[in-house]
Amino acid sequence: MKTVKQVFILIGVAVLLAGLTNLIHPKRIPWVEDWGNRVEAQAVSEKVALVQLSEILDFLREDSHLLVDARSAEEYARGHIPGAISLPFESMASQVITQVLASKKPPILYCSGIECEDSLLLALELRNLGRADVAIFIGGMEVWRSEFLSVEEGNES
Amino acid sequence: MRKKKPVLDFKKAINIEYPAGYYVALLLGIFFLVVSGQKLVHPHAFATAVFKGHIMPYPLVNIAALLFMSMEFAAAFVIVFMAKWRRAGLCLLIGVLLIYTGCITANLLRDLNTVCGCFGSGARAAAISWTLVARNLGFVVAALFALR
Repeated sequence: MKTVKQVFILIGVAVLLAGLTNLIHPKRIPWVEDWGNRVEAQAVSEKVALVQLSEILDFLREDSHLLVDARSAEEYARGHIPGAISLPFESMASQVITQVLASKKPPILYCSGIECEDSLLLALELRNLGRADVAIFIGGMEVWRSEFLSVEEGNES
Repeated sequence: MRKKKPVLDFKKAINIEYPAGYYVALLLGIFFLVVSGQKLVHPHAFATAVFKGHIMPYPLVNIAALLFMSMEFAAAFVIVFMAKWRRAGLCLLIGVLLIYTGCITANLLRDLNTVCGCFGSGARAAAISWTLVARNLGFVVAALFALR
């Protein structure tokens, strides 16, 4: 009984600590934040599969997946994940769409970063066209560059 | 004259009848003190990890993150520094670990590929797996051993 009472006191202390920490913390966070607007939250609600960076690195080693860059052709030319093909969501070239739909490798889509929606919108479009195994790499180029991984430049895809 | 009682009496803190349990508790306490300390220093990183769990209603993510990191810290603190509160600290730590494990298991069962963020949520953090569930259950077993 004493232990149960102490556990509840500890929880109370934790609530106070949480409140106090967030009041004086230099990196305090808002009590309520609209995480639901994030692309990742939308992807989860749309049941689109997510892929993490560690897995992308494995896939590249194994050459088991088709990486698709959903950014504009200009952004793609400035630097993209090695081996990725360009399929800008804004233009959606039918030739490339056919290539992605026909590919034996499951496609993984990415765009500029966690706030960019193009990869999700393209994934939904591809799924509507019959490619059910499509997945997205939410971190995109932002996370790729933050890890100082090599990028390929130019329009060749 | 009465001798002043030290605030942290380490000699008294060691349970002579069950030293193995004491040392396991101490190791767990120090480990989670460091881990939760890192979370308290970088609250947004842990909030992101909670968000990536996609279990909490989104508006409650930040409050839940603050509460969980504080509970972890409070539990670890009393395990290491307050002998009379050690059992309560271990019970709370077990509760927090079971909640984390439940969330990871739920995401594995619904095939949601996300990262854990349990010990930091860097870009290269590994995706969740059953190994993580086993590791967390290992911590729970260790805490139960210390509680015995």
